[in-house]
This record gives sequence, C-alpha cells and structure tokens, in this order.
Amino acid sequence: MLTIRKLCRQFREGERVHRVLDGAEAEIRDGESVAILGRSGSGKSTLLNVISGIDRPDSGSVEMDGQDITRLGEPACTLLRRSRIGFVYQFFNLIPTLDVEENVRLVLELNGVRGQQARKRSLEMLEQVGLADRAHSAVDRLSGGEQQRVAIARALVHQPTLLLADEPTGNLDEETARQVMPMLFSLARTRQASLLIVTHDTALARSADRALELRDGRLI
Amino acid sequence: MPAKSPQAHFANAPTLWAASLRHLLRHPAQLALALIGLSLGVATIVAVDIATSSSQRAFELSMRAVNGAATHQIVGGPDGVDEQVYVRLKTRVLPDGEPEVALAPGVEGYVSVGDRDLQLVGLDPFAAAELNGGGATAGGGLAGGGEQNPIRWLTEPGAVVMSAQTARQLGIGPDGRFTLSVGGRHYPAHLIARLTADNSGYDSLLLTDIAQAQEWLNLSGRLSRIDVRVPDGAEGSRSVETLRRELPPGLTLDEAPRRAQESLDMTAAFTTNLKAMSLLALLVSTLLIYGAISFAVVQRRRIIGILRALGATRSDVLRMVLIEASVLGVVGAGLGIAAGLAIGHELVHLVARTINDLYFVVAVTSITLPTSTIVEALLAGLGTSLVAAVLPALEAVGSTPQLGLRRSVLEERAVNLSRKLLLASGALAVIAGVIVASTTRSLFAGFAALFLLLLSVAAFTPAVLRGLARVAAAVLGRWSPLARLALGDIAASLSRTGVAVAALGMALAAMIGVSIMVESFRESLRTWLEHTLQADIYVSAPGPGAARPERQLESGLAAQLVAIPGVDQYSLSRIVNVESPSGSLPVNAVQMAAKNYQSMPLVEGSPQRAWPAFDAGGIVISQPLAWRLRLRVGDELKLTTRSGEHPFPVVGVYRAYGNDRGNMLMNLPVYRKWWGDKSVTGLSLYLEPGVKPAEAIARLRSLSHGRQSLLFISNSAIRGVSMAIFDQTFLITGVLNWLAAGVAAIGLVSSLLAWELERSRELALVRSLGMTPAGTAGLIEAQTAFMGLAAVIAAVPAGLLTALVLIDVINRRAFGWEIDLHLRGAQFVNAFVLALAAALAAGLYPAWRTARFSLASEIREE
Amino acid sequence: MRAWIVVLLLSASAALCAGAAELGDPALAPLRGGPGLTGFAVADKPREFEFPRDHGPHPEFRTEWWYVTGNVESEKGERFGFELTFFRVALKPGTQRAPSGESSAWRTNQVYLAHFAVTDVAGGKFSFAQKYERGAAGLAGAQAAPLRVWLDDWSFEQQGDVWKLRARQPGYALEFEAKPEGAPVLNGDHGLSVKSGEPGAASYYYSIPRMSISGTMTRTGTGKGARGAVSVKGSAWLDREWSSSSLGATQAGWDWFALQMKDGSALMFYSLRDLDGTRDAHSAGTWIAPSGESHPLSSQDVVIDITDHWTSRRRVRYPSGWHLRVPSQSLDVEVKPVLADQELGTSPRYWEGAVDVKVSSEGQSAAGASRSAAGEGYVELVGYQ
Repeated sequence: MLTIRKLCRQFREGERVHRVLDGAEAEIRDGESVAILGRSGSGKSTLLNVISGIDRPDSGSVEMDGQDITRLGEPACTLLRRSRIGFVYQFFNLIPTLDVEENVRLVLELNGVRGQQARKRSLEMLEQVGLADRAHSAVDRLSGGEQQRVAIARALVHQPTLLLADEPTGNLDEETARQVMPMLFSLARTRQASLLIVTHDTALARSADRALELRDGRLI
Repeated sequence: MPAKSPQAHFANAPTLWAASLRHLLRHPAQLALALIGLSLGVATIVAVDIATSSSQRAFELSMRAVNGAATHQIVGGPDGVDEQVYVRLKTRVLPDGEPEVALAPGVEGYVSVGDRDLQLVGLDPFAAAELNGGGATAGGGLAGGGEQNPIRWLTEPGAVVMSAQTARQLGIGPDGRFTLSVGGRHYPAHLIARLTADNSGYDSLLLTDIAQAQEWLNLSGRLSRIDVRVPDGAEGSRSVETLRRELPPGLTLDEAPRRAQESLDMTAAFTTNLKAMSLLALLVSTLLIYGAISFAVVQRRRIIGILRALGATRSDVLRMVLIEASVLGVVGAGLGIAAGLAIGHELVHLVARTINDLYFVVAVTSITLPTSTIVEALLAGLGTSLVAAVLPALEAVGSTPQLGLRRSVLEERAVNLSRKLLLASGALAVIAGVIVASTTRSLFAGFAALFLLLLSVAAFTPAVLRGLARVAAAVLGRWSPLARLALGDIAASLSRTGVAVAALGMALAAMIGVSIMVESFRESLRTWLEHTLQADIYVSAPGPGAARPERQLESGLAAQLVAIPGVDQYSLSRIVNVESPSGSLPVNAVQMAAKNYQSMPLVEGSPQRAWPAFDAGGIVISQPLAWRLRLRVGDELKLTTRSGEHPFPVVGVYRAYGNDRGNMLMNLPVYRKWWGDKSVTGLSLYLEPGVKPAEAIARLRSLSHGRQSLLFISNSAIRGVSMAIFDQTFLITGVLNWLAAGVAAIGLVSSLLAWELERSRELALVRSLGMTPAGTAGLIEAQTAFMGLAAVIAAVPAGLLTALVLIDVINRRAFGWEIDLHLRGAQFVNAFVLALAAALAAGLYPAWRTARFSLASEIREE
Repeated sequence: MRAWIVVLLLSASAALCAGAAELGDPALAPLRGGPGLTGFAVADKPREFEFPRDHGPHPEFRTEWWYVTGNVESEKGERFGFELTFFRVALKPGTQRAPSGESSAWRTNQVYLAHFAVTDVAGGKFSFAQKYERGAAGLAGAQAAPLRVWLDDWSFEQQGDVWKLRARQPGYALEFEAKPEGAPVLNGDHGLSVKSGEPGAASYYYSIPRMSISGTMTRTGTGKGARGAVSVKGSAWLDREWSSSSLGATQAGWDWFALQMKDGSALMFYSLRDLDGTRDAHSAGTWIAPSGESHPLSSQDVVIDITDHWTSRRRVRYPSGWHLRVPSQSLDVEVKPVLADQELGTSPRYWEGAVDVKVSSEGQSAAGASRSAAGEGYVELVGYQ
C-alpha cells in the first residue's frame, strides 16, 4: 500500500519559482497498476523521484506500508529503495560496462544475494523476459526493446513491492512497445507488485487499472 | 529480503567492481595519463631522494671504510697533527686501571688519477687492525678480502690499494702502474692489490701506507688526524677526558660521528633545495591527478546516478571511487618508484658531481633506496590520488541520483567555486606574506611560504581564465560567433578547464620563478666576478677540493714566479680549513696587493677602517658566513690556532658567492703567525700596462717546468670556469624544473582531453551544421591555445613573486647570498612556449578525433 | 728457537689480509731460505760476541728476538708465569728511502711485534696479548747501549745494572726489575746454533739462564678474583737469537725446554720435530752448571718421553707432561705444566707455558739425583696441528 499525501516540491530558477508538486495526493493498493499522465515538464519524473526517496519533497509524506519514506534518513531510504522498489526508465539506464546478466545480478548483489544463487535468480528472471539466450551479450548490442526487457528484469529480480516506470515506451517504437509492455504488467501482477507508470502514452495508460493526471502539481 | 547493512552488501558486490574496472580499462588513454602524471610526480621525489641519499650514503661508507670503529678523532689545524703527538700517546705509560685506548694515525688528501679525483688515505695497517678489533677479523681497516701482500704494502714505494671497481673504471689492471697527481706534482704509483669487498665505501678511496701518503702530500711529520676508539660507557668518557688533558693546544678531540655529520651538514642547504623542487613536482602532479580522476568520476556521473537509484548508498559510491583512487595511487606510486630509480640513477651522477665540485670527493657507485623513501612515495601517491578523488566524488554522490545534475548547475557551482578560490588565493598570499615577514631565519618557513604562494597561484587561475574568456568572448564575439562559441565554452566549462589551467599556471609560475632566480644569481655572480677578479693572472696548484692543504706551491717557487719581469703587483694566498668551536671553517689567508683591496666589495664596514684593521689582525668575512654564524662587524670569531682558541675581530663583511658555507679573509702574516703554516696555495699577478698575459704565462710556465704543473689562468678564463661550475650546479635545478613543467603539461593534456571528449557531441553538432573537420580541429586548437595563454598570463606576475621569494627568502635563508634581481625576456618566452606547446598538444587528439568521428553515432547517442 | 716468528709477522697481515688462516704451517716456507734471503746477512760461522753491543739489534739479519720467560711468586705464595717477547723482522734487506724528496719518518723495512702472556696460577687463568708496530717514528725499535727494546708502551730496557720490563694487557700489567745472575751463555758452537743440514739454516743464539726478578704484577681485570698490585719475586730466562733462515725443509716444529733447577743449574734443550714426527738429529741444548760453566748437549744426550697430552679449545693436541733425562748430568725429572691451558691463540697458535720440574721416581732412586732435585721453567711447543 502506497499513500501519497500533500506532496509539495518546488524548484528555483533565478528569480522564478516552479511549483512542480503542489499538494499531490494518491493511494495505490498492493498489486494495483496506476498510470500517471501529464504534459512534458509537468513534474512526473519529480514525482517518481520523490516517491522513491531519491528526491526530497518540501512538504507532504510518502508512506509505504505505513512507513513514511520522507522521514527516513538517507541510508535507510537507500536501503528501502534497494529492497522494495524497482525502476524502469525511458532510456533503459543499463550499465554499459556490464553484460546483460550482470546488469540484472547487480541488484541482487546490492541486496546481499551473491554467487551462484544470484546468478541463478538473474538467469531465471531473464528467462521470464525471454532473454536467457542473450545473458552474456554486451548491453549495447541489444535492440531498444531488448534493452527495456533487461531493464524490466532488473527492476523485478529482487521482488520489489513497488515498480516505478518512467516513460517506459518513450524510446521504443509502437510495435516493440506493444510487445514489451504487457510483459511489464503481467510480471508486476504475478509478483503482487504495485506498478506506477509515468507516461503520456494514453494507450499505455489504458492498460493500467486506473489512470491519474498530474496537472498544476496535483494528481487528478 | 533480509536488510543487512548496506556497506556489507556493497563491499561484496563483485559485479560493481567489474563495472569499475572495465570502465578504467575502456579509457586506457585517460588511465595512462593519470598514471603517468602520478608516477612522474612520485618519481621526482624518489629520484631526488635516491640521488641525495646515495651520495650521502657513499660519503658515510667512505668515512666508515677507513677506521670505521673509531669513536673519536683528534684533529688539528690546516696542517693537521704533529706525528710526535701520536707517538707520545702510543708509548705513554697508562696508570693501572686506565682502560686501553686504540689509536690509529691517518694522513689524507685529494689526488687525481687521470680525470678522476680520489681521496688518498694513508694508514698504518698495524694500528688500523688494532683499532678495528685486530686479529684475523680486522674489522674495517683493509679487511674485506682482496689479494694483498703486506710486505709489498710496507716496502714498495708507490704501493697503493683501491677497490676493484675503481681500478676497473680507471683501466688499471692487476699490478698496474699509473701516475697520480697531487697539487700539480706527479708521482708513479703501483696497484699492489684490489679490494673486492662489496663495501662501496672504498670506491672514492686510494689507500696507501702512511709513509707514502706523507711523502706524496708533502706532509712529513704531520698527520691529518688520529682516530681513537675508547670503550663504551664511563670508562670511555674517562679515557676521553684523560686524552683531552694530554693533548697540546691547537688539537681537538671530537666524536667521530659528529665529524661526519659536520661534513654532511655542508650539503644540507643543497639537498633541501632539491627536495623542495621535487615536492613542487608532486604538487603539480596532485593537480594533474585531480584533473584526471575528477574526470573519471564525472564521466561516470550517469552510472553513479543509476547505482544510486538502484540502491547504492552515498558511502558505497564514495568508497568505490576512493578505493579506485587508492589502487590508482598505489600503482602510480609503484611505477613512480620504478621510474624514480631510473631517473635517480641519472640524477645521482649530477648530484655527486655537484657535491664533488662544492663539498668533498665522493664516488657513488651503488644506489640506495631507503625504506623511508618507499613509504614516502607510497604515501605521496596514495595521498595525492585520494585528495584528488575525494572532491569530485563528494560532488558526484552529493547530487540527485539518476539524472545527475545538469551541466549548467555544475558549472554554476564551478563559477561560485572560482570566486571562493579567488578569495582563498588572496588569503593564501597574505598568509605567505605573513610567514615571510614574521620569520627571519627558518628555511622551512621560507619553503612553506613559497608553496602557499604557488597554491595561491593555482587558486586564482580559474578566475583569471573565466574573466579572460568572458572578456575575449565579448570582444571577439562581435566579429565571429564561432569565436564566441569557443571562448564561451571555456568560461562555461570552468569545472574542467579551470583545474588544468591552474596546474599549468602553477608549474609555469614555479618555472618562471626558478629561472629568474637562477638567471639573477648567474648575473650577480658574473658581475661579482668581474668586479673582484681584477688580477691578470691567477696561479694555483691544481687538484680537487677547495681549501685542501696539499694544494700548495713548491717552496721557493712563489718568490721566483712573482719576480718575473712585467709584474706590477701581486697577492699571495693560502686557502685552508681551520677548526673552530663552530666547526671547520674555510680561511683565505692573503697578502693583498694594493689593487686587491680596491676590488673587494664590502657590504659592511667602510674600506677606510676595515682594511687597516684587517692588516692588524682582523678578519673580513663573506656574507654567507656572516649569515650562518650571525656575525656582524665588531663581533669576534674564535678560531682554533696552533696555540689554542683565539678570538679574531670581524672588521668587514664582503659579498661572495664562492662557497655557500662562507669564507673569511685573513692577512697572510697573521695566519702564519697563528698557524705556523708557510705554504702558499696560489698567487694573483697584476701585470704592468702593456704586458700581455699570454707572454707572462709562458714565462711562468717555463719557470715552473719540471718542478710542478701549476694552473695559470687569466682572469677571463677563471670567470669562464666559475660560470661553468655555476651552470653545472644549477643543471639539476633546471632538470627538476623541466620535470615539474612536464608534469604540468601532461596534466593540461589529460584535462583538456577529457574536456574535449566530453564535448564531442556538441562538436558533432557544430560539424553537422556544416563546419569542416579542419575547422573543428582549428576551433579546438584555438581553445586550448587560449587556455595556455591564460595560464601564462596568470603565471607571469606569480612567477615574479616566486622569484622574489626564492631570491630574497629562500636563498638568503639557505646560503646567505645576496642576489640582485635580473629579468630576461627569455624566461618568459620559455614559459610561454612551453604553455603553448602543452596546450596545442592537448588539443591534438580531440581535434583528430573530432575530425574523423562518425557524426551519426555521436548525435544519435543520448 | 723461534725463527717461525716471521710467520707470526706475516699473520700481522691479518691486518692486511683476511686470508691469514691460509698461513698455517705450510707457511713456514718463508723461513726456509730461498730467494727472499738475498741481501740478508747469514749465520754460517761462529762469530765474536761482544756485550753490550750484541744485546742490541742486528738489522742486517732477517729476524731477531728478545725473549723473556719466568716464574714469580708473591709473599702470600701466589704464583705467576710470564712471557714478554719482542720480535724484530726485516721485510726486506737494507733501509728504505723515498724515491724522491724527503723521506717520511714512517718509512722502514723493520717491523716489530711483541707477545705478553701471564699465567695466573692462583686465579687459574692464562691470558695473552700481542702487538704489532713498525720499527719507525719512535713507535717501536731497539738499541744496544744501553739496551732498549720497545713497542708502544711495552718495553725491556736497561737502567743502570737492572733491566726493566714493562707491559700491560686487559687484565694484567707487570713492572719488573731483572738482574742477570752471571754472564750470557753461548749456545751451540760458540753461539752458532745450527738448525738443519741446509747451508745457512742457523742462528746466533745466547741465553741468560737466570735473572732474578722483583717487581709488581697488577690484576686490572673486572671479573671475580683478586684485583690490585702484588709484589712478586722470582726468576726469569732471557733468550736472544738472530738469523736469516733457520728451518729445514723437512722440519715441522719443535719443543723447547728452559728449566732452572733449585741447585743453580739450568737446562736448555730444543727438540726439532721432522714432518714424520721423529726427532731431528739437529736437536740440541746446553747444560749450565751451578758454577755457570756450560756444556753443549747433542740430540743423543737428552731422552724425552711424553707422559700426558692436552687438547685445546682450538682442537690442537699438545704434549702436556714429560719425563726428561740427561744421563750424562744425572738429570731425571718429570716436567708438568702449572696450567694445562697456556696456548696463545695467535696466528699461528703455539703453546708457551710455565712448568714445574720434579725429580722423577726413577731419578730419586738413582744416586746423586737430589743435587738437581727440582725447579721451574718454561716450555714452548710449536707446529702442532
């Protein structure tokens, strides 16, 4: 259960003040998928950053299972993010010096799973996204769709309770997006992970259980 | 998922290490530059350490090679100790209960074999064996193997022993015969044995029987010293007291280590200078490493962002970067030690040469790498790279992960930082000023001030660069938007460009400063030589080592030489070292020609009063000596004469550069009265008008022919020789200076390379808009050249300031020399050329790369 | 009988040459004549001895020594043996001068060395010291009238009618006055002592078999045992010998006996050992009657049986007890070291020690043997491996 209350976040650029979040509120149940729509620059990415504890709100709270992330210290926040949250990005954000399997395994290692067990789990995860045969390819040899599937595998391999996706189709062609996205939804569902997708792709938004729009710093 | 501590997790994430390592390996040029810079910095320290410590070690070994077991030494005046004192001590009947004291006589001097200078040591094998423990183990003495024949040693005239290594170098075979010269007299010598011991202390020594040494060195009846070994503890102190009481006046009994230390102390100022130069190189390389490592970190900003998003904590990332830097530091230090050994090998000859010229004869045949140097090098390497890495790492982890900071924010910070640095620069300069003003003698404080000053240069360079770039952009931008783009980039990328230019600026400032100092010194010396060397011809006994008593004219020869027709006036001089409570001091005892008085540049005391007082028994001391012993006109200096200590009034201080330990002039009759030494080391002749020096020299030569090979030098030649010695001394400084500048240049290359590579996408864009590859390359070169120029502009005033500190603070405190500032265009031109060359070189690779890369791939990339 | 001392001098080159160990017995070679001898005077015929001239040095010969050994006793009965010996060795014939210019006072061909050993019977200790010095610059030397031999602060010199001995080493110092009792005794053929059949292998050799000693022996050591000066009295033997070569090619070493009997008689005998271990026919000695009258002894005149052995720390096995008979003089005695260990660890090493002389059981039963009932003396053993 993720509860967002009265989130405010503003940025200062010279004399001007941008109120990117201005009292955003939402509640997302376990296993529920929610799409967040909004125009460019409406603060969608900031919202995800604040939810994951990467960025801090000026006020308001983000509760995961009753724990307020915004009140956690930096190390605790990182710990929580590492174990409970998975990310999928528009630009995939794979680490170029690691191969496919290593990219997935890294998250497990950060969570204290190592050696053969980590290897086995990451390979299993890659199998679920259909990339077991590319496990040891360099990531830049993969197509965009494949890279995004690796990113999905990485986001889910440590069984997070919350999956955050930032414009996951933004860098994929329509065809590829249609192949990859169902995988994201189904995997999240089978693992009982809440899924929060930021997108301006209304088709994608329709696949979610419900959709919210971020406008003037509020979720509607 | 079990929540362990994040650190524990991270430390064991092998995939992360793989990522880190592969990153480094994917950027080999960058890695190489960082390592080169670091190892060069470390290498300089190691090389200087090796060179100085090897020379010192060689000296200590040679001190210990002969009678190393001695605890004390008895020494006398310039002509040493009467041998009867030794005989009396050896044959005296000690009271019962008085412990045995081992005594061994030594007769020493410098001789030349071919062009090699050696220390001739005359010893008595029996006494040496007893002193060194006696018996078959023979301790020091001549022990250590070799094919010796004691009967030949004692009975064969000219018999000598030297190390096998030295014999090989001189090309003298077993049982070989050769000629050695002592102060212009030549003698046949016969190598009866070669020492094969691995003690390299023998390498500068030529051993012979004491009788032979006395004859060769013209020291009949005299010993250079008596080595003494007393037992440890109270018994020994009692023996020392008894011995002291029995010594006639004029002789002193000193602890042996103290004598050695005194000799080594002579070189202290010289080695401190070298050390400072090497630290300078390291300091410059710190900035270079900073550039390289900070770039390595910044390059991975995105990856760091991903890692942070995936759950790596700040300390995880920080630790990763620091460990990486540590590995780099240790590897760089390792390479630096290796390179330092190689450079040290070369440098050691320069250092030894300088020491031979200025201080004492030493042969460095083995290289000493002290453990402390290794530790120092490792710490320096590690410390340098950690310091360099910690700032960018902190900055990287401090930012919001994933997206990282926008470049503009980063640059905004850099601009703020450059403002703060400008303030810091002012503060550093003020502190340096305060240090200089508040201390008067501390050399350490002088160097501290110098380094603060250089840091201050580094700190204000980014602001200078930004200011210049903005002004230039505003001016030039009116004509060409391209120029505006190029210059604007520089100002906007201060985080990248600032560091590189600061490093270069600092190195250039140091380079300018040092070369101004050297040039000023050289010029002052030249003027001084012209002023003081007024005689037409100088005659002296040749040989190594200043103030060596064996350098003397054959008795009676001096009187004949000055009597040749055409001589208007002449001065006689005897140059020796005398003992004093403040250690051994060089004395130039002169009987001065009238013209000689006029040419002495007194800086304290008026000629009208000083010279009559000088004739009456006062001494005129050189500036360095006045500085070192804190003496002024009106003070007294105690010297150990033949009849014990006697105070001599200081009646004048003169400017001199000849000897950094200082020198003093004494009237020759006064010297003869107190020391009973009638010898003459040299003459200076003032010719009558119209007499050609060459003709006079021919006459002098035929007079001395067959008796002694003397040096006859005209004043212009002696000036040339002096300048040559000077240049040789400062060769080392020059080498180190260029080394430091080289480090800075590499730093500039690596930083600019990083910057230009970072901008490759922007450059691709410019090209896609229609700029030719050559045009782009030109743009890059123009940018780097501009930065080189900025570094020079910052470095010129700073270099002048550095020169002033070097001349008026460092030199004065180290040597007491007074130097007039002399400026030459060449010093600045050198710096300018170096900066420009470095800058253009830095632009080459990016320019080449920009010209050939695939536009499509650069633009397509995110 | 100590011409081997040149070897010692060569080992003085321990100072010069770490390989002194090679100078074991084979290194007695330099004593065996050969080219090294050219230029030295040779002892090949009897000469006219003249005193005090011949007390002084004979630099034209290669080697020479002043050898004093003796036994003394304090009033409390503490017994000491002592040896104080000065050797002179010429490394080359003639005198040395600098090739040009003034010669250094240190230039010389003459080298001196000295041994000083003390046998402290009461303390059960034997200790020795050696010194080397060149015979120049006043550091060491010898002169005839009055006699003076010295090396550093060790000396043997005539002052009026007494001869003063002075030496010190860590632990012991002695200052003795010696008075010769009787004229010098010429050994061998009127002082020419032939050592082998080889020409020139001979020395000039005289002894003063009895010198009364009085003076002080000082223990300066820091260890346990008595410290301080003790007044002592006793008797010493002076041997004077000079030569240029004296060992035969087949000779390995010798045993030398100098015994002073209580009745005033004395015996000197050297037994030369050949390499095969047998006694060389050139072994010889002198019998001195209480009257001072001397009789040369040939090898056949003296019968010696070894009764005991002792092995030193340095693993050398020495004889350590003798049954010595001179039938012609009715002498039949047992000779026993006062301490087994009186080995000088010099290089080469040798044994030189104080001995007791007792009438043997056979001798007691023989008629007239009590005349020379017993006494003291010194024995020297050289060339044992």
